[in-house]
Amino acid sequence: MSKAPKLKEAAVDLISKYFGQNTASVYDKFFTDEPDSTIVTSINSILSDYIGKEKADEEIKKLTESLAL
Amino acid sequence: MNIRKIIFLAIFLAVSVVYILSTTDQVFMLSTLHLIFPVGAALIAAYTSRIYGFKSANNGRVQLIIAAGLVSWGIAEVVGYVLDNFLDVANLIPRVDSFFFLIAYPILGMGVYRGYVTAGIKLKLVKKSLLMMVLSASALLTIAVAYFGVYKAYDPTADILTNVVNLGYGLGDLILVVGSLFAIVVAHEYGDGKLASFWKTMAAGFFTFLIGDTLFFTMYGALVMEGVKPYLYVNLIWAAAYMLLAYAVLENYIHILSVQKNIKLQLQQRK
Repeated sequence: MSKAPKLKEAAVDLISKYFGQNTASVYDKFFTDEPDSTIVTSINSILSDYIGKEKADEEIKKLTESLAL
Repeated sequence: MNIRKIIFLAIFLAVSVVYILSTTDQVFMLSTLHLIFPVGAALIAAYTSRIYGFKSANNGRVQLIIAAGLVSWGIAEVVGYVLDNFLDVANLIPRVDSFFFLIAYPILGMGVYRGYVTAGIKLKLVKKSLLMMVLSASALLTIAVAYFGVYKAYDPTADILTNVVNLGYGLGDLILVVGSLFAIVVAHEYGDGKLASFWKTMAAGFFTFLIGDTLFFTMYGALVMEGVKPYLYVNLIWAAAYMLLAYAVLENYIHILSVQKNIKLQLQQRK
C-alpha cells in the first residue's frame, strides 16, 4: 500500500517548519499525485540548499523513519 | 561577491565618506542619513516575515520575532530622530525612543532562542572546541558588558528613572552577548546551508551593535551626541550593525522568494 498521502503530509510539514506556511501550501499542491520518490528528492533538494546537507539528511531520515518507509 | 553585497558596501562607503567630510553644523543631515540602515532593516525584516506567512510556526515564527525586534529598533531610531531634531526634548529622560530600543533586546533574544529550539540542537553533539570557544567568549563578554554596561552605568547622583534606563541598556547588551553566541551555535548546526549564512550575519550584526553600544554608553556618549569627531563615528559602527542585520534578512527573503517562485513555476508548467 502506498504511503504517499502520509509522506506528502509529513513532507509539507517539514517544508512548513523551515520555509513557512506560504511555501508549504504551494508544495502541498505540487505534491498531489507525485510518487514518493519525487517527494523525497524534492524536499531533499530544497532542504539541503537551505539548512545544509547534513541537517537535511537528518530531517529526512527522521521523516522516513517515522513513516517506516 | 554578489551584487547585493556590493550595493550594501557601496551605500555604507558613501555614508562613511559623508560622515568624514561633514562639519559640526551638519548633524541634522547626518542623523537623516543614519535612518537608512535601521529603517531598511525593519522594512526588509517585516517583508521577510510576510513571505513566510505571519501564522507560521518554527522558523517562520523565528523570523517574525526577529522582525518585531528590528521593527522596534527602527521605530526607536525614527522617534529619536524626531525628538532630537524637531522637538525640544532631546535631554528628556525617559525618552519614548528608549522604550522601543530596550524592548527590542529581549525580543531579539527570544528570536535567537526560538531559532536554537527550532534547530533541535543537541549540545552533546556540538563540537567541544566550538562549545568551549562560545562559552569562553560568552564569559569574557558578559564580564565586560556587566562591568561597563551595568556596574559603571549606575550613577548614584542621577534619579532612579535615569538609572533604570541606563541599566536597561546594559542588561539589553547582556542579552545581545548571549544571543549572538547562540546565533553562532545555530549557524554551525546548518553547515553550509543558506540559513547558516543568515545566522552568521545576524551574529556579526549583534557583535557590531555591542561594540557601538559599549563605546557609547561607557565612554563617549556625550561626545557622540554633540557630533564631535572622531567620537561621531560610533554612529557608523551602529550603521554597520544595522547593515549586517538588513543584509541577513534580505538574503533570507530572496532565498525564500526564489523557492516559492520556482515551485509556482513548476506548478504552472504542469497545467
